[in-house]
Amino acid sequence: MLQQALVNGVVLGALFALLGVGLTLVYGVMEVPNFAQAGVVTIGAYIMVTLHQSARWPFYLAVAGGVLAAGAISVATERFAYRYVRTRPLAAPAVALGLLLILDNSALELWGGDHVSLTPPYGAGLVQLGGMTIPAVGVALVLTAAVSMLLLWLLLTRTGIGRAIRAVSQNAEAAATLGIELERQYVTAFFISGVLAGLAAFAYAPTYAVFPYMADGVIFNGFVVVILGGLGNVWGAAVGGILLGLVESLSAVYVSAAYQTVIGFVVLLAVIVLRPAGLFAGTARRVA
Amino acid sequence: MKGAWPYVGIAVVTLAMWALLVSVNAFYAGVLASILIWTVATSGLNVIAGLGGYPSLVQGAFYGIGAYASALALIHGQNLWVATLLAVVSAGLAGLLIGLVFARTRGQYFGMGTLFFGVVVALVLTNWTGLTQGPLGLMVPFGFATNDQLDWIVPLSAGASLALVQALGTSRLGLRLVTVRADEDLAEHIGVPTARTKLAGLVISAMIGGFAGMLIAQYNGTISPDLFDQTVGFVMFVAVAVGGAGRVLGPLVGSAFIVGVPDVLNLPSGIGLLVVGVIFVVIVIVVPDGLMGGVDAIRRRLPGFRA
Repeated sequence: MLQQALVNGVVLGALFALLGVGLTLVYGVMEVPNFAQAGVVTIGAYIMVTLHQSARWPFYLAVAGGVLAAGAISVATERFAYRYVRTRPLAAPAVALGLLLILDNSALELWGGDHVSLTPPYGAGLVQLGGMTIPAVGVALVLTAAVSMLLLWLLLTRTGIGRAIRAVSQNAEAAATLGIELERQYVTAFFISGVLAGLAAFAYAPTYAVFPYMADGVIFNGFVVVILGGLGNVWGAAVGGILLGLVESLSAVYVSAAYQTVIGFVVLLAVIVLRPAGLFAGTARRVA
Repeated sequence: MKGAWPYVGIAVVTLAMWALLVSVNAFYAGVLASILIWTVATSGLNVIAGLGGYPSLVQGAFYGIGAYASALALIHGQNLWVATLLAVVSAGLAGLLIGLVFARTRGQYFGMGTLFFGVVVALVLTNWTGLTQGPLGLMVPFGFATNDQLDWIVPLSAGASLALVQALGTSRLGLRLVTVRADEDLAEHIGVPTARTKLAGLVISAMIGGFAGMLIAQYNGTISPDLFDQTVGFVMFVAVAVGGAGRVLGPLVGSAFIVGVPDVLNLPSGIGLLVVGVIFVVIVIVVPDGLMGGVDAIRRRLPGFRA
């Protein structure tokens, strides 16, 4: 039972990390709590389902379409809304939640409220690992998260695009003085965050169902992760994600499944009160 | 406007609301009553979020705690006075708890922290089935003598809550909250006890929210957890921001917009929330100070207007 709970925790944690990294990246460059990311996940998942089941695209092509669409929607939220409240931090959470209402309810209007499922080719497959049985979709989730993190790490540390994003995140004014185009970094960060949201949709839609409010609950966990890791800290979010996944799955087994989210909240509370800058606080805010 | 005039204005608005409530048909009376009860709840929110500038997203939870506390008291045979007292006190205690934990956090941390608290309260209301009967909800015994009594209590409460915010705004606590909104560090330097001020503001917000919860429980006759989840807390914040945060009439205007527009247009809930989302994003972007702020901005441009 402990072993199973640990495995579940890692799977759940991989999902939280995937969401949290996107949120924290956007927070890093723009200081916006992007609740709308839950809506991006939802619409990305619906686009995958539609492309795969109605338009009969091959599964992986449909997923790629959904991921890119999610990136585009995320960029649209920045271009049409967030950029106007960049200098007003108090308005940002309100706009974020307004956008979430728009995206979720657009999904409700376009696709209806029924639960539909996204079934990958490896659908009901099981993987045997050291005497444990793990659903293939869980393995796919962990692999997706691990590969995306690795690619993101390479992007942020090894490329000019990544350097520019990190520079803006550390000090936007100084970066602008040195000739970095801020607008482009905002768009890039939102695109990456949207792509991560699309990947999260692909990774967890097969386990849970696809419906308009599918990501609203889990996005809260994404924010717990962001705060655990320290706002704007990408690696903190990745580690925080796994940590929160383990805490929640262990408490589901040993405390109470209904209050799993509450336990996550208690962890958050402890961090806010005891270590307000996050578990991995250094001297400066970093995104990589 | 100085002295007694704002209160006269509020009294006139209150009377007009009462007259409207008793003269329109049942459908519009229902919409108007919801708006007025929301005005009470959002006036409460206006204390911490409007005067104090702190983005509290937990008002829906205070509203829920008030509703459930009053309902449970009535179910267990207490009278409405006791039920109301219990609603206000229990919501106030919840506010005290949140304040003690989060009053030292700022800005977005405060917003997120309060939002999570709203999630927790909604989970407890849903899962503590022994007390709340979970998602099924509770039937609330009617505590007033007659329906007519409720028809004047509701507008009176809305008016009283507006007057309370008006009075608070010119009081020592209100002025302290405004300095916190303007510049918290500077406020601290010139000797404003900021943590205590925020705590007091949040508790007052919570108590007024709890009272509004009692009203909605009485008006609806049934309550269930989905009436008080984190979305409600958010939409209340939206209402305050749309109306004009920190402005006395802001909650009335904002509630009329947020509750009234979808209800009167009678849109299905999906489109309704979609419209609310669009309206809100547009208003926050276009008129940063909300609708009442927009009214002021227009008046300043008119010739002959003296501030």
